[in-house]
This record gives sequence, structure tokens and C-alpha cells, in this order.
Amino acid sequence: MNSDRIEENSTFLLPNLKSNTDLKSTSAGQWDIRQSVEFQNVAKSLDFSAGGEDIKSVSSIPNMWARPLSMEMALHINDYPIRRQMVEQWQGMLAALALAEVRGYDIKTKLLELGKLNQIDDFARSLVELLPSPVNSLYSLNGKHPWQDIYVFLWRGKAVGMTSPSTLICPSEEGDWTGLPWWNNGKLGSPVNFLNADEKNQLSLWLERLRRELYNHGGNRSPLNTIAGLIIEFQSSLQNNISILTDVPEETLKSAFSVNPQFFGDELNRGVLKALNTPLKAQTKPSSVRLIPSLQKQNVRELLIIDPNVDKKWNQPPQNIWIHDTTNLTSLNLDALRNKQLIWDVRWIESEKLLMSDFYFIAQENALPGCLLPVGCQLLSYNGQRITPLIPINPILLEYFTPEDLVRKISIESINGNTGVRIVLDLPLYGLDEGKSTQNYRLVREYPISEDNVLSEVPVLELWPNFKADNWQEYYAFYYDGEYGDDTFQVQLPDAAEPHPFNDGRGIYQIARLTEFPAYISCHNSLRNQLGLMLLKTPQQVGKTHASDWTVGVDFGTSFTNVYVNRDDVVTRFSLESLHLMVTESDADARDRVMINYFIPTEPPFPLSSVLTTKKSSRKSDEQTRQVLDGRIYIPKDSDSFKPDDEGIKTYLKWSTENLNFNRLFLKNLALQITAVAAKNDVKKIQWSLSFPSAFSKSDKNRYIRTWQDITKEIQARTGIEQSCPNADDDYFYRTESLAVAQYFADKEGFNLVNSTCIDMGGGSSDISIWEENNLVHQCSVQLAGKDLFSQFLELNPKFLKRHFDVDISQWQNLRGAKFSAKLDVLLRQKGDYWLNHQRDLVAEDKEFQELIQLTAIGTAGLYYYVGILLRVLHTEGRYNKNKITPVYLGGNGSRFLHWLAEGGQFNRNSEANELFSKIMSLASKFDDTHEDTLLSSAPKDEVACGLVLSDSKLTGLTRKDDLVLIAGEVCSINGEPIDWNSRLKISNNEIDSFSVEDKIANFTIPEELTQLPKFLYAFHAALRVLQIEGIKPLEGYKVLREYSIEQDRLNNQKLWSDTSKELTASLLKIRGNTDDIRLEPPFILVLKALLSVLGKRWAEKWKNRV
Amino acid sequence: MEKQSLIKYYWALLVVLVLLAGSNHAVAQTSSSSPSPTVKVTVTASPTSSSSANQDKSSPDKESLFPLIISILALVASGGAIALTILNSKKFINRIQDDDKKHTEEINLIKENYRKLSSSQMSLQSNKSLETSSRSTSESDTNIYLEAMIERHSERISELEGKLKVTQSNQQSSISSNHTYLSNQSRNQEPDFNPFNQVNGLSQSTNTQPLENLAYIELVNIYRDNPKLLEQKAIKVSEDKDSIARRHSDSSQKIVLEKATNSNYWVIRDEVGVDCWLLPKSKLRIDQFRYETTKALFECHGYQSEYSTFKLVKPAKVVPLSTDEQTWQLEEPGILEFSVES
Repeated sequence: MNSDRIEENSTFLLPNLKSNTDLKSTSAGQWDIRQSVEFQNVAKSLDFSAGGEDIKSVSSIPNMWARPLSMEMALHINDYPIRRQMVEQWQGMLAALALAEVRGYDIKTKLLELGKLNQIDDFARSLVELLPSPVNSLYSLNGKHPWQDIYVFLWRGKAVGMTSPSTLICPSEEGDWTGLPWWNNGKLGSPVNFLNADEKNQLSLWLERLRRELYNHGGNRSPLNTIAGLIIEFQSSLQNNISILTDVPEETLKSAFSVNPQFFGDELNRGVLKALNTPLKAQTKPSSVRLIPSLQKQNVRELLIIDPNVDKKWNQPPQNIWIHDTTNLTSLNLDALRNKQLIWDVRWIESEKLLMSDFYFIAQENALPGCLLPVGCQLLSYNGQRITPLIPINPILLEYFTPEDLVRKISIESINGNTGVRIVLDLPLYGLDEGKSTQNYRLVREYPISEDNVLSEVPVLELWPNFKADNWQEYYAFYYDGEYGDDTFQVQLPDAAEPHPFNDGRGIYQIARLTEFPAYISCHNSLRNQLGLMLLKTPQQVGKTHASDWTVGVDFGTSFTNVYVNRDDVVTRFSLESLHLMVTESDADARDRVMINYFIPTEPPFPLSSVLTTKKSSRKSDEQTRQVLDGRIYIPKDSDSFKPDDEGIKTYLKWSTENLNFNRLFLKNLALQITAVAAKNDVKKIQWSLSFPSAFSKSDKNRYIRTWQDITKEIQARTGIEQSCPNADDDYFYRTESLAVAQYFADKEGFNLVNSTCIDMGGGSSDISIWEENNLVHQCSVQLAGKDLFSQFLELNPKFLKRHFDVDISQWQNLRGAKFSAKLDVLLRQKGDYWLNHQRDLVAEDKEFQELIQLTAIGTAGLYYYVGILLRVLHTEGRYNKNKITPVYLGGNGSRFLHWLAEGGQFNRNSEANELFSKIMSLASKFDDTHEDTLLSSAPKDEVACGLVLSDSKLTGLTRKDDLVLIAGEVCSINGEPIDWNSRLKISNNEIDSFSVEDKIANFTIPEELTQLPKFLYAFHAALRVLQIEGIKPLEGYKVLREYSIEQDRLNNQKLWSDTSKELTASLLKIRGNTDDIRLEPPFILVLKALLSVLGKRWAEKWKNRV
Repeated sequence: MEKQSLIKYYWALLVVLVLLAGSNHAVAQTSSSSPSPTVKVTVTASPTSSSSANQDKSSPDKESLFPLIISILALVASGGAIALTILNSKKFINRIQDDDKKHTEEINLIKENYRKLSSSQMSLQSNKSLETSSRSTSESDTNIYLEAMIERHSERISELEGKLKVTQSNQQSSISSNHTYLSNQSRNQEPDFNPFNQVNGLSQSTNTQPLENLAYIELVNIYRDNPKLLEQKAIKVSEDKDSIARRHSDSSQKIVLEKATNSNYWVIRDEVGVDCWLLPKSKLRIDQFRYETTKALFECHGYQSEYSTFKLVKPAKVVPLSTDEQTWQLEEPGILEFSVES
């Protein structure tokens, strides 16, 4: 220490003695033996006024007990030089002890029993030997020197003071009270200015208790009075009227103290010190920093927003701000919370974590149309271009606010010339007003608009359905990064019940099922760093009103599936309105096509292609598969991009028994999407009306309805929309397609069914019903339809499409069967009308084309021939009373092929084919040709679905169960039992069914020597000749007899019939086994299909090398 | 195809010779005394130009007026095209400069590119730069560019002449295919007809019509070097939904594009308003889904869904269908070249 510093910072001790002192001094360096009272005399004799106001202590008194003795002198001697400062220190320490629990001060006590320690410790022994005089002691210890038992106080583990028998407590000279508000600049001061009124009242009570305790433990009266006076003085500084304190009952006082007897560690129980042992009890108050949630979120767990500086923001003393339970801002131990040493029963979050550390944005304007954006976003720009921000807030807030509420609490503004943004978050907290009004808590953060945080592209992101409804738990989300990698963002969907992320090529995808509509979606980069949130617009709540129930008719077809709905007796074709929420403004090129492949398609046109895609399903096909996640309805956009042989594309769903999961998945998706549209329209109940072709085997029929029952049961549980599904015996809501078609023609088209035949020609089957006087006479279903009459020929000779219609057939060459038909269906739907109207007549004279038309005409005429046979047999049986042929009402998607037979591409009653079919029916039935018309449906493929939901009908017999037995039409034998062409196809005695339950078919044969098919082909050619039809040519090489003789015909056309017979053999082999599983077909239709197959192969062979 | 292109060059050669003759105050004598409207032409030009001009004439003895008229017409047309193109390029740059002062650095980059291009193409004097934006200087420069351009063409055509026989003999092998289009080997074997090839790296199919290329060549360069400049000027478009539907039912239908917020294509209109060009937006990722549209707008050479990069070889040409710049119709598909990094 140099002399300069001494001069500046120090005051010499023992400056001058007062003039009237009795002290006797000796020479410097000479020690005298004096009594301890000499210290007191020295202190009294010092003239200390020169020390100034800043002096806080006197040091260098040569005694180990100097500090407590100094405190004793300061408190007990009124004119002690620095008495005021010492008293303030004394008050400050008492206040710290009193408020230790209220404010959460970390103060501990340690008892030192010097009488014991002096045996083992030299320092203790010295202390004992130098024990101060007990003359001013406030208590006695049963004969023990009161200074022998001392408590040391530790503040945050460091000694800051001790007890003193003469002054109660004594703060240490250089105690480190860091964190105590009234400890400043290394000095302990009066706490008065740091306490709120509440605390002052409490502290007064604590002092009152201390004061009352003073006189209960012996001690000398004079010092007791001195200390009592100091306590009263202290109380006076806290309260104006302390007289009321004396009236406070003892019980009241007790209740104000902590119940923890060892709050400070070692219990203070020596004399009056026991009054120090229990600090004031912390009060319980509602948290000032509790977040006040939206009205819709009242049941959430409390969330406390903790900001150590909230007192400054609110301009309030920290002790006024209650954090939790008994903890206010002053007693808050944030580190203990962070370290989980302290665990609360409420959620809490530090305010700084409410805003993210970085600000990311999309370099496009209005990039998030499905999202809410805070005020000010519209003006943000980057490099002169408007941007769309990701909101950098903690998603925890979305548990407490609706997105709409939250977004109103956020504002964004551009700063520093568009190089940064300032985000302001205003949160309503409980505040200090006891809940009368909330207190706004504002959090502000500024971010640079950094090039590092640019997202130049937006992914495809969709949610479905975009509504909320009670009990609706089926939501789906779809994400595709567009192969943009880190130029865009990835997402995490909160609370996704079934997330299904996957990659395809360079693309990153995610499909997820959610049980609730999400309030937000979290964005992150490839390193999983969170980039920000997208707040989703809360969708409309549906179902508040009760709309009428819907009856929904589903025609699940081979090629297409159609749906009609009856709402209050208004029957309309169903349309799947888009229920998608387009979260991001992704480019339409990618969005439209990726959704077709991986998500619920938007506004698919009805009828839907009966195609399923299971691309990227995470489950094996034999496992329980989930709608949307494992398979979706596929909507071919065009034939070029539709690749039926791609992995995951499933066709022929109606008939295939290879994997019934695909069939189920298609219907599951369909039912769910229909239910969603119903829910959107406030419908509470759906009555399903379903159909099946009578060509279905019994197993098919039962399985189909069971599938629907399972599906609807599951959907009802997940959507809350009641689903009424028919059972297998419900003849009204589970009908044959032929009946539904007839009802359509009678009740929708207004055709009379006095004497009529209705045919629904689909892709795989034709459903026939014969009517007389509006009564059902007969119904059946034959598997002869579009694929047999048209598709199979083009499959054999796809170059035809290239040659005549300029179709790129590079993708067609390897397609077979149902896959080829599916692609052709899409192509014809896309271009069929155009070709009919513009190109058919241009190729009408081409021989290859003519021969194709000829094949279709033979097939269709064959179907009419079979209808003629039916009329004849039914007439013979007495079921059909009129002896005349009927007009034919033809519907279904396959009915469109008739237009190809007509010149001009438009089939009508003047068409040659119309006359031909009437004639064929006449020849088969042996009734006169009364020139009955074939009338085509005005809405092909709508007939069945529409017929299913028409509520009233003039028809009768719709629920009849009899007459389901097929009429053979051609000779055959079942299990060796011959069946004539004009007989029913049955082997049991059951009147209404072909077989008994236990029946099996071991052998189904059709003899090589056909009887009816040759007659048909002859009739066909005869009709062409008689009617002088030019548009349909006779078969090349077919020898037409002047007068028909079956034997001669067999001879003349031996090769044809021989080939047909061989072709037939393969199809007959399939008709074996349990009769419940067999899709029985009339033998005539079987042989007709064999003939068509033979003719088709010949045609394809003939033209295969054509250039 | 190649042969036709070469014949075009011969015609262009004739045009250039006449132009050079005019610019050098060469002597051109005409005679009106003849009863038929024939013109006697004597051309004084460089030996190489002269020889090629003579060779181009199928019958040098016949002094018919018809070829000359054709030549003059061709001269006017091609000269105009060259001038127009250069003016367009210069105006395009000036427009950028005037419109957005904030992007001075980028403009300077363009200027630099343009200067390099010009110097490499036309052997300009080093002090003939674009740094001045005054109109008079620009026009003066334009004249110089025009002359330089013609001179350059002359040289190139002379080279052509020498290569003609080789080309004809190898005609069969030199017909472009998709492979030769992309083949470096082919480029090395085939004389590079395009004077800008060194700069812009255009492939042969665009070389066959160098004068037409000038209309979009600068655009392709800017697209490659600094597409952000184009982005600010581009009108963002997507194929109209009706157009997609029409295209699906009848592939011969013309594609219609409409203005859209988030689109994948840009329409850039040149300053004069003669041409509108369609380009993929910068950094467009042409995945399997976007490809369906892209392939309708561009010939996509070497496309695989796992491609690494693509190069714009030629923008597609579109014409506005309305004056309010809302819809455009595709006139001519562009060309994109895809590559896959091993």
C-alpha cells in the first residue's frame, strides 16, 4: 500500500482523543495489561466526527470479537460515531432474515458451540479465552456464557454475519449479500425503501414478535430496553402507527410465520434468538405472469411467462410481481427452475424463448394462402421483392391461443431500410390487478433479413378436410418438397397420429393422419433446425345445423365408379367438392399431379376411374391397410401419363379376388370422401344404397356388403357421422345393378317399361332386366361388356390406335387385360368424343377399321340374340306374356361403343345398327320384327347410381328374390347333367337359385357341336343382307348358306367353329369348385366370347404388319 | 437440312458482299438502256468475298436483274435484322440500367459481358464500350457494331466456303441427331458456324440459323449468368387450365399461358416488342410432375427425372393474346438440354 492511496482512501484510526478523556496512553510499541472495559473507554473517547458520513465501520480494534463488539457499542452507545450506519446494517440483516422465505433468500445458519470446539481447535480456544463481557447480553444460557454459543449466517453459502447475545445479530464487515436489494456498493443498508406496503406490514409483525420475545429469556434489563427501542424505531420506519401492533394477538402473529422449524438449517433456539428462527411465511397469490388464454382454450394447463426483468417493463417493484404460489419476482430462483432443482406444478417458460432466434422467410409474395399472417407482413420485402415470413414464435403459444387470436398479438415491421424486421409480441398476463384486467406483456425482437435465411421455393402442403366438426377425427396432411431441398422447408405436423414420411427419387414426402385440425405447422430445415411456424386459419365449424339425411347410391364399376345422392328427394350426381386447404401457393404443375399420385385428389370428376394407387405404402398388401396412407383413389389425368403397369397402380378392383385389400381400400377412400362432403353440408346421417351385378357369385355378393359394413362402421367411429349400411338381405338398399338401371330408365328418363328390356353395359358386365307392365319378368348379368366388345381387340392390335388416331402406343405394348382396358378407358374418356365427332368418318372406309366395327357389332348383336332367347324362353315358361320383342334401353359406359357402329359417330333410331339389333332379337325369339328401337341413356354410367337413390318407383318386383336362375342359351352339361339351350342353368331343386348351398361344380362342359351360336352368326349375316346394311360388313370368309342347315354350316365354317371350341375350353376350366364362389355365366355368352376372341385374334394377325 | 442452311449462308454472303461494297464506296454501275429490266453489277470487294460471291451465282454470265433485287432485299432484311438485334440488346441493357439504379453492379456485369461478347464477336476497338449511355454514342456504336458484324460474317462465310465440300461429303454423317446434338466429339468435327458459339456455347441446331439466334442469344446469356436480372423483368406465367384440358383431348391445340402468382415460367418481352420469349424460371426443378408441362413447352433433350442440371439452349417463343399481358400462346417450343452428373 503506498502513501498516496492511504491518503485518498483511508482515515486514520484513533484520530484524536476527546479533550475530557480519562484514558492514559503509553509510549508507542509498549503493551500494557488493561481490562476489556478499556475498549469501551477508547471508543467513548475518540473524537470521530472527522470521519464523515461514508464511514461504515471501525476496524483495527485488536480483538477477535471486534466486529460484534463494535456492533454492540454502536447499538448500545447512542453517540457511537457511526451508530446510524451500524443500525441500518443491523436493520438490513434483520429484514433479510425476516423476509428470507417471502423473497426466497438463500440464508442458512450454522451453530458454533465454542465451549466444545475449544477442546479441538486453537482458534476456538482463543475465541473462548477472549469471550466478550456478557454485561450487555440479552439472554442467559443456564449458566453458560451466552457468547459461547454463536450462530453464523451464510448467504448463498458465504458467511455474512453471526448472532450476538448483545445485539441479536451482527452482519459481518465485508459480507457479500449479492442479490439482496438493500445491499449496494458493498454496504448493507436500510431495507425500508425496498419493501412494498405488504412487506412492511409483515416485517413489522415479525419485529413485534421479536420484541415480545426479548424479555422472556433473562438478560440485562438495560440492553434489553436498548434493543427493544431499536426494534420499535425500526417498526416506526416501516409503519406510521405502530401502536396497533401491540394489540395483535399472539395467534395472529404466529400465523404470519413460516411453519418450517429449520428454515435456516440449524435451529436458532438460544434465548431470544429463537424469535429469529422462523422467517415470515410467504403468502400465496395468483401469479401475475400467468398467460390468459383464448376463450376457446380455457381448460389448458396454466402457463407462466417468466421474465426476470418484467418489473422494469411493468415499472413495478419486483416483490409486487407474483410468479407462482409463494414466489414473487424477488424470491424467484430461476436457476433452480432451469436445473429442475425446483419443480412447479404449473408450466412455465422463459419469455426469451417465446421468440425464435432467427427469422426465415419465403422470397415470394402471398406464398402461404392457407395461413394467417400478422399485421405488417404485407410490407416486408427483400431485394425489392415482397416476401412471406415464417412466424418465429414458440409453438407452445398455440396451445393457449387460437391462431386468429395469436396472430392479432403479433406485429411485424420493417426496419433499417428493409434490411431487418422487428417482431412485437403482446401477450395478456394476469397482472397485478387481481384479475380485474389483464396486463400486457410485450416482447420485442429485431432480426436481420438475411440472405442465409431465404427460402426461395414453397413446397406442396395441403390439409384435408378443411373444416371442423364435433367428433370428426379424420384429418390428413400432405407434404412434398418439390425436389427443392434446402431451397424450401420441411414440416412437422403437431400431434400427427400416423405420420408417414417417405422419399421418392429426390423428393421428400410426408402423408400424415391427424385426429384434429392443426392450429399450426412447424417448419424446419434438413438439419431439423426449426425455422418458424405457419399459423393455419381455423376452418369453419360444420354441423351446427341439422341437414336432412342423405341417401347415397354407389355404383362400383369395373372401369368407373359413380355416385348419386338423394337430398330431400332431389337426386343429383355426387361431386366431391374440394375440401383441401392449400396451405402453400405451390405451383400448379407439380401440385395437381403429385396429389393424384400421393394424396386425396382435388375435385375428381365423376364417374371416377376405378383405379387405386398404393404407391409408397408402408404396409404390406396383406396387412391391415389404411385409407390415404396406404392407398388412394387414383384419378388418371390423361392416358399418356397414366401407366397402369406402374408399381402401386391397381385396376380391376371390382372383380379381382387376388387381394381384396385393394378393393377395400378404394371403397374406404370413397366412403370417407363422401362422408366428408356430407359433414361439410351439415349432414348427420348417410344411408348407403349399394348395388351388385347378378353375375357376382354368392361369395362376391356377401363379401362386398361385408366390406361396406366394416368400412362404414369404422368411418362412423372416426367421423361422428352416422352410417346406415344395408345388410346382405336388404333388397331395397342392396340391389342388383339390373334393377337399379331399370328404375333409372323408368323414373329418371321416363321410359315406359310396359314391354321393355333394360341393359346396363359396363366395362366388365352387362346387366339385363326384362319388364312387362312395369313388372320385373327376368334379370340377369352377363360378363360381356366393353372389354369384350372393344378393348380386347385393340389390346391384340394396339397399332390400330397409332395408325388411325395417332396415339403414341409406346406405353401400350406390354399392357394386358385389365391394365390395357383401364388405359383405354382413360383414353376414350379423354378423346373418345373428339374421335367420334371428327375422325371416325375419316377412317370409315378403312378396311381395318371396318373389321373392328364388325367385331364390335357381332359382339353386341350376340348380346341381343341372347336377349331374344330370353324372351322366347320366358314366353315359353309363361312368364313373359307378350309374343313380341321389346325395345331396349341401353345404358352404362359400354353403351358408348354403339356410337362407333353408326355413321357420323352418333347412334340413334335411324342407325343401321338399330335395325340390325331389332332383327337379331326377332330372329332369336322367333317373334316378329316389330322394329323396336334401342334407346341409349342420356347419361351413360349414371344409371345404376341414380337408380339406387330414386325414392319412388312405378316399377314393381324390385325386391323379388325369385327368378335369379340364368337361362342357358346354349347347350351344356353340369356335372354330367345335360342342360338344353332353352333351359335354366340349375342342378338343384331350389326354385329361386341355380344351386343348393352344398353343391359343387366338378365338370362344366359345352359340346363342340354348338347349336345356338352358329345360328346367331348366320342370323347376323342374314340380317346384314336382308336389311342391306352397308356400314357393317359381313365376316370375310364366312360362308352364308342360302338356307340354314346347322350341319352344312359346321362343314362350311369348320375352322371357325373348331377354333371357337378350343378357345372355349380354357374359359370353361374356370367354372369349377364351390358354387358359392363361381361367377356363373350363360353358356351362350361363354361361347359368344370365345367366338369374339377367335375373331379378334384373326383380325389382329391380319393387320399386325400393316405399316 | 445442313445443305439448306449452307445455301442460306451463300445468300447471306452475297448480302454481305453488297453491303461491304456499299460501305467501302465500291463501284456499282447500272444500265437502264437495256430493254429488259436487267442490271449490270460490278462488285469490288476483298478477294475472298469476291470469290465466294462468284461461286454463289449459278450462272455468272447471266447478268439478270432478278438476283440483284433479291440480293438487295435480302441485304436490307438481314442488315435490318442485325441492326435491330443489336439495338434490342443495347436497349435491353439500357433499360435495366435506367429502371433500377440500385443494381449498378449487376448492370456493370452485364455491360462487361456484353463488352466481352462484342469484342470477341466483332473485334471491336477496346474503347468502344457501352459505358456511355448517351443516345448519340449508342447509335454510333451501333454502326460500328454493324460494320464489325458484317466483317465478321464475311470472314465466317469465307471459312464456310472452304468447308463446303467437306461438309457436303460428310453430309450424311453430319445430320444432327439427339446424340450429335449433345456430343462434344461432334462439335469438334463440325465447323462451328455460329460466331457466338465460343461465348454462349450454343449447340449446332441453333448454329444453323445464326441471324435468328441473335434475337434471343443475349437473353440466353443473361439467363445463364445472372437470371435475377431477368426475374425482375419477367412476367410469371403458367399454363392455363383450359389449355391443359384442350391439350389432353387434342395434342395439336396451341398451348395458352396465363399470368400466375407462383409459376414456373417467365415471359420476357424484348424492348421493341417484336418477340416474347418463354423461359423456365431460375432454379426450376423439373421433377416428374412438372415435366409433363415442361415437355409441352420445350424440347427436352436427355431428360431423366434424376437429372443434375439443365441448360437453356433456346427459349420458347410466345405471342401475347391480349394487350394487357395476361395471356400468351406458344408459337415455337424452346430447347432444354439436361445432363446427369456421374
